[in-house]
Parts: sequence; structure tokens; C-alpha cells
Amino acid sequence: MTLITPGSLTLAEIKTLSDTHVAIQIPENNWARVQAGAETVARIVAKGEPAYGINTGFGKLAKVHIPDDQLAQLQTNLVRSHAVGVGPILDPETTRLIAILKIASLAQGYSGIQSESLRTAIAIHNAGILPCIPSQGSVGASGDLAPLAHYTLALMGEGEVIYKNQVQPAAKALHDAGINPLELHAKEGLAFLNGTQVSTAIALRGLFKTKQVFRAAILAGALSVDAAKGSDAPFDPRIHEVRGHLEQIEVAKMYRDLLSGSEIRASHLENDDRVQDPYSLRCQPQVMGAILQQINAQSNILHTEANGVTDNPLSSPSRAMSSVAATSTPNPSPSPPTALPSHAPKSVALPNAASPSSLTAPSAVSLHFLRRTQASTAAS
Amino acid sequence: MIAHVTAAALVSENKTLAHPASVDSLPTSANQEDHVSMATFAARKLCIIAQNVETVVAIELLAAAQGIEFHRPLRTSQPLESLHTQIRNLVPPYNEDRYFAPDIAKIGLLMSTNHCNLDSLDLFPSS
Repeated sequence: MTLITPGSLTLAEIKTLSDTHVAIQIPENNWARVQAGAETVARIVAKGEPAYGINTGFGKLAKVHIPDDQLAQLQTNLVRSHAVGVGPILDPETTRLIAILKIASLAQGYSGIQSESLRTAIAIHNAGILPCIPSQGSVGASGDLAPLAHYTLALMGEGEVIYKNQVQPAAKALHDAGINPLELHAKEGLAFLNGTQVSTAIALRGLFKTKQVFRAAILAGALSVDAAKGSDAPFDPRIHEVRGHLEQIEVAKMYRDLLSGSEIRASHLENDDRVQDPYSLRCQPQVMGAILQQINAQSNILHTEANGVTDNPLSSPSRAMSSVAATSTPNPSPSPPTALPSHAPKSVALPNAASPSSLTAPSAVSLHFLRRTQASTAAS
Repeated sequence: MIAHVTAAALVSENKTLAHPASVDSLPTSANQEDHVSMATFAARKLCIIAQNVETVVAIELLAAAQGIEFHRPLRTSQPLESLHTQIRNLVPPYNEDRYFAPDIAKIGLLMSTNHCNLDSLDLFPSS
């Protein structure tokens, strides 16, 4: 059982929790926050004043009041009516990650769900039950509504899941696993359906793949230089230091390290009448350095998004339910998860070209992911 | 003989897939949700693009490994010789025409599995 820290998961932890099935639990203080959020919703319901998504309709029907005795039915209907996804089912890694991100988001206590509902979501994840989530049908607006509806529907014991390597009715899988289906209370359907966990999870899978491919592309590029009897002179550190982009400087060093000691290179150091190689060989540090910058930038964005709370409306412990205009709005929380990932470039200042030591630290940090990450991932 | 054509096809696919999903927005919910991000499709396209790039790099690795052998008995660097050995452990050299597609798949798998030996090579000891 791995203890996860909602709001401050590292990318390495996220990757492990996605790659493999890991049973999770959340810290005690998160349960207290969830409870506080649920109490906020209870107070609003007791007051009886219109609050979006709690006792109103949705979208264009936001002005329609829903009576108290139908608030739970409203949430159930919301989930069923939004399960309109089409296309191929998402793969297990992405599906697992969607569950983890949704649990981590709800566990921060801003979504107003009851502890019991979160316990059910965690139990279903821990049992290795994977909701069948169609990949198409989300516009990624105030939430990945359709795919998250399929996720939530499975927690309710409706729709289909993959359990013990078989596609089967969710009701049967939950029964076999000894888990009571999720029974939605006021606001809860909205909390599960709203949010960017599906687009974020898919993008993170793409990011992990991109990092892997980036690494292989550096290897292939270096091998190609020697295969084509290219020159390693364009990888000279001075060329890259005077331009100043940290990632380019670091990538140039990789090519130097990879080609260092080659007999093939040594064989044409002299009497080679080719003045220069094509861009595709000699400009690899410039291009791959720029790609690495993009990878690092996207890592930061996705890391923040994965730890964020993106549903609406949100409840704040100190305030009543506050409707948030868009999911991209920063968390109105007292402690938003703003910690940068450990591999983030710490500075964009140009390095001092004369001082190699000023280059080493930040670039080494930025290339953290190129090394093996298995050892640094969440312990189970 | 035409693995480079496969690579060209995939690169061209990627050029089309690189069209930003956010360029288009269709209003939903009777214009209540009038601008939407299309982030989900953007993310799905990223995965397709990354998969295509993986295959293109696999083809480049096969070509480069063969290229290195034209320079024998000269050897490349120690880390690149290790890489070459790993490729050759999976795919023998091309001395005559043979069924090629499985070779591309094998190198792709080498790159994508968690047991990928490329990852275990200490290629960047000083970084």
C-alpha cells in the first residue's frame, strides 16, 4: 500500500502509478479536508439557496431549481446522461492514471464529496478494477465530461470494466471484489465529471513516451553521425556556450560523450574533403536542445495540472461554495500545489560562457529524466 | 529496401497531426460553453505522434547500425558499440532481402518496454 500525497505527486510517482497497478492510500489530514468540504455542501443544501450543480440544473438549465428530495437523483442522472463516449477504450495505463488523478484531486477537499464516496473510488482502484472509458467525445472544456462519466458510471456499478483481464459488467466486478457501488450524494456527480483528468492523463502518457523516444533519438542521431562518417566538430562546447541555451549545451555534450573514442571518427580527422555535414547531422544539438526545452516546459505544465483541482464549483474551507469560471482558473486554495518538478530548469539566465561550472548544475537538473527513473519512484 | 518510405509516410502523418487542436472551438450547451479547449484530442494526437516518431527512430537505428558495419574493422565509441550490439542481438545484418517489418517492430519494442536495455546503458555518466 503506497501513501500518495494529493497535490504534490512527483512525475516519477505519477509514472509508476500509471505503469503498474499500485494500491494506494491517502494521508489522514486529507480525510479531514474531504470531510470539511462535504460539510460545506451540507450547509448549502440546508440553506436551500440556489447553488450551481447542487440544487440546480446544469449548463443552460442552471436556473432550474431542483427540490431537495431529488438532489441525489440529479447527480445519478447527470452521470448516466453524460456517458456518451465513443471510439476505442483507453489503455490500462491511461485509465489507471485517470483514477489516480481524480482521487488525488478529490482528496484535496475542494470538491465537496463525502469521505465514503472517495473511499469507494480508492477501493475500486486498489482492487484493480479498470473502468472502460471510450477515448472520443470530450471537448476538454470545463471537464472531460463524457469520459469521466464513463469512469464514474463504473464506480456506480453501471457500464463495463476490465477486471481480472476480462471486460465485464461493472456490477459483477464490484460484487466479486466485495465493493459496494458508489451512491452519489448532492454535488458528487459534478465533482466526478468535472475536471481535466482524462486529457491530463493522456497527455502525461504522451509525455512519458516522448521522453523515451527523445533519448533513443539522441542515440540514433549519434550512431548516424559515425555511420555517415560525420564530424564531431559541430558538437564542440564553445559553439553552444556562446549561444547560451542550456538544453542545447547539455545535448551537445551528450553527442560528444557518445562519439568519444570512436575509431571511425579518428579515421577521417585528416584528408576529409567534406567541409561540413548536412544540418541533420551537425545541427542535432540545436534541434534536440530546443525539443528538450519543450519537453521540460510541458513537463512543468502537466505536473502542475496533474496536481491541481480542476472541477467547478469549488468549495473553500473558509468560504462558501464559489463557482469558478473556467477549469484553467488557478486554484483558489490556501495551499495550491505550486511546487515545480525537480527536473525543471531553475533559471533561464544565460550562463557565463567562460565558466563551465555555471553550466553544469542547471543542465544536470534539467536532464534528470534521461537517467533511469525506476529507483526514484514511489516505494510500495 | 523501402523502410525509409515507411518513415516518410509516418513523418508526413505527423505533419498533419501537428495541426493544433486548439485552433478550432465549437460551442456546446446552447452557447453556455461557447469556447472549449479540445485538449483531449490534442493529448491523443500527442500519443499518436510520439508512437510514429518511435517507429521512425527505430528505422534510423536499423539504418545506422548497418552503416557502422560498412566501416569495419573500425569500431565506433564504446557506448555506441554497446548500442550496436543490442540492436544486432535482436536483428541480424542485412546481407540479402528478407521480411523486414518484424525487425522494425523489434527495435520499437526495445525502445518502448520498461526492460529496454537502451535505458540501462550508462550513456551520460557525467550529466
